[in-house]
Amino acid sequence: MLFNSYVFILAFLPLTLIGYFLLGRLPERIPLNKLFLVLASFVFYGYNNPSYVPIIVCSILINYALSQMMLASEKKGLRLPLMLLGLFLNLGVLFYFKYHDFFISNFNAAFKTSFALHHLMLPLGISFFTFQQLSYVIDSYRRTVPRYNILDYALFVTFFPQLVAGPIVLHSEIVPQFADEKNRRFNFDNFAPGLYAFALGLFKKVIVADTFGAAVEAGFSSALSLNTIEAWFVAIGYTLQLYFDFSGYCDVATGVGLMFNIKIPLNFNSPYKSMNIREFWQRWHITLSRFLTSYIYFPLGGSRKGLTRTCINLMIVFLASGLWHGAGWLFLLWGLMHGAASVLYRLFRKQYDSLHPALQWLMTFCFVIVAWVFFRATSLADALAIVKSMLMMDFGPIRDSITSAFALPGGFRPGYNGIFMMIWYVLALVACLGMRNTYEKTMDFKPTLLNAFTTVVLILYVTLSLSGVSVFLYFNF
Amino acid sequence: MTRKRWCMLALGMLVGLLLGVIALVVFVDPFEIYHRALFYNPPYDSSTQMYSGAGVAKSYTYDSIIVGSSVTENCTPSVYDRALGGRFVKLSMNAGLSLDHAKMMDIAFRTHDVRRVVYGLDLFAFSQYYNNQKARTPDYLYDDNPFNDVSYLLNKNVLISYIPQALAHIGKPDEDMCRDAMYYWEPPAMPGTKGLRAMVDLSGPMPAQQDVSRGLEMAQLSYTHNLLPYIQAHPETTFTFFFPPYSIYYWAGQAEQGMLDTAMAQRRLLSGLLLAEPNVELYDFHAHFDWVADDSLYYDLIHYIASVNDEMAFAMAQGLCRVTDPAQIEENSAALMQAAAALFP
Repeated sequence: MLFNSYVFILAFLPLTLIGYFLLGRLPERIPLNKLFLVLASFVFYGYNNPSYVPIIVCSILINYALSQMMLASEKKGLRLPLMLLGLFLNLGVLFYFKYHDFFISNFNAAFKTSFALHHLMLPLGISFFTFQQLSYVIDSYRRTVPRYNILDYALFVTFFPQLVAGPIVLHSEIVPQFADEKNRRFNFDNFAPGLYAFALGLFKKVIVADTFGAAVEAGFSSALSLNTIEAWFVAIGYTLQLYFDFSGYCDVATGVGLMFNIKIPLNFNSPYKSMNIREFWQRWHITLSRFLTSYIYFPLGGSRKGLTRTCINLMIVFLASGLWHGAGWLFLLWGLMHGAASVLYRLFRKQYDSLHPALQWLMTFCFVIVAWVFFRATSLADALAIVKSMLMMDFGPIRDSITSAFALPGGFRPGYNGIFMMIWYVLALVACLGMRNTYEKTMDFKPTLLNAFTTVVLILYVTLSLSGVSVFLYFNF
Repeated sequence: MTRKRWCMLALGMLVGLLLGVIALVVFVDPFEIYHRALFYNPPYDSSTQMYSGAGVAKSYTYDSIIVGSSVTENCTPSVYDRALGGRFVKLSMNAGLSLDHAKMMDIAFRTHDVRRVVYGLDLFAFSQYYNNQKARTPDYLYDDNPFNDVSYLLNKNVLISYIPQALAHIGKPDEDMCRDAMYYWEPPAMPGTKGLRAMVDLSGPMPAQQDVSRGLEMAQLSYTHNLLPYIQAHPETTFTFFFPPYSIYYWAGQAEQGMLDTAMAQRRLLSGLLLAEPNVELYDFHAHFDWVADDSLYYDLIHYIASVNDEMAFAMAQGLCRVTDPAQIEENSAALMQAAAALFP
């Protein structure tokens, strides 16, 4: 189920809230509210494809069993094989669904073999819930986690706001909140900022990101023929689309979490305000960076084993990040670019930090924009063509297929689409660079009439925008 | 303001506005899904036929329907009333494939007692895979599930574009006028013989024709899934099929693309299947040379002037061009192929 769907906004969310808090009135020893929320989360997860549900159920049961065995064992020698088995199973499942075809197709190409591809549908959110559970398995090996009952563990993994697109939460952030007696009751103090964050997030995802998305789609599908102006607009457009899409989704997760009295950790902290690449990764997809730092970078030695090892460790982390984002060479290349930028920053930090702050910001932002081109492109040739166009100084008009994405509803004044596009870009950049982000606004929420009006208008507008009328202009036949 | 009061205010406004929008859409109902237009005459537009067609099928009063592509859009239902008896509406779908037409028939049979179906049998509609459609259908308007109607009731385009359009046509609703005028169209200029010839490449000899097996398979599947179930489920209904009178240059164009043999094989197949059903009448205007050889009647290779649509009704009433024996189809096909071949140097 998607957040941006009628069924979620009008039925699932209200009914789940009502059911959860009604059952929360029962004594704590009867945790039917948690059971209800786990079952509701399975409905959320399997709504569009119920065949995914057994995968996540098995994943939860196996990881829970392994963790309990490790927590029950004093002997490290016994825990190690269990932890390795957990790693193998989790990463094996992830590899099977996400990377098998990528690996086999490259193997076939390299060695002229013809092993069959599976063409499997990637189970929703598998990268997120796999990493989330890996953290628990590894911490169980280290015996740094308490023993949870199966219901608490299942709720930690499946809590639907963060299930399919993160943030990658830690058990220690979620389970204690559900255990807190006062969180079992509906709380207007949390619901109000939650609803506000929900509205802002939906607006970012459905209206802003999808509008830029239409222009970006048009641009990338003409990647080989863009002029310089178009290439920059398309690249910046994708930079904005990705931010508003992903952070909008996380804002919705934050908002819905708050409605259930659960504080979900910050995942995007105005990343495009960053002055260097290190800061960017402290602000962009924060929970992924945290996971990769805790479970890859530090175990590899982090920065404690000399400069060379530090640089190698950084490259490994960013290659893993690239691969986590998708099974493709361009994702790896994107990870490589960020890894290289992080290494360079590490090596020349003193010189870089002495530059004018505006120049630091501009260099960081331009690098991020260019790197996103490789992340989005469907082929290296397309990505290189767009980057080349950005540098070629080949100025010309912006084609209608790009500007029409910013047309007014109802197609009024189509001749002004170029101006509307400029307005969208300026407003989006101002929102990214000059305004407080949703998380800040939510944490500092003040109930005002303006806030209430904004919330209502945004949710109404988003709801009305979930469906349209497709006009079929073909005239013959 | 307390947070509790803020929540009450926001949720109250939100629920009120959502219900207000729903009430407005149900009341105006620009695509007539729930009721006939109450205080305006809908500006039916062929670009939104997938929506308005569902409304017409659900809300109009009728006992007979005209189904087909753009070659049926200029039919005048009141003329068909007079010629064939009953009360007709058009459920045309321009560029429609057999599944598009099946979905229209489906609504009509579910909501009305249908006495007669007049079906414009375009071969191109039976030349693709049977579950292909011309475009994505708003299925939520076609089924009986009230919950998925939310896609219509809370729809930005409906609210911003189509309700204002409806309100711009306020007046006493006239169902007869609406059903005759809907989807009517004509081009700004007629091409004439020279224009029609220019639409087909007749510069070289007629090329070799392609294998017919795929075309036959598509036609058979489309018939089995999208026609036969309706014919057999409604023995009380008369299904009047007609092969539309395309210009002779259309057939030359088919030959030029190597598809003439396929078209003829599909004619043979579909005719044979249809004539085996007791509640089917079949009319073959493909080979009605009074029309198809008269270049002054055509907008383009397949579209004829509106009067031909109406003349077809009277022709069918008189049994003109009716086919009862597959052998007649063979004779007509031979004549068509000969006429098409004669246009090549």
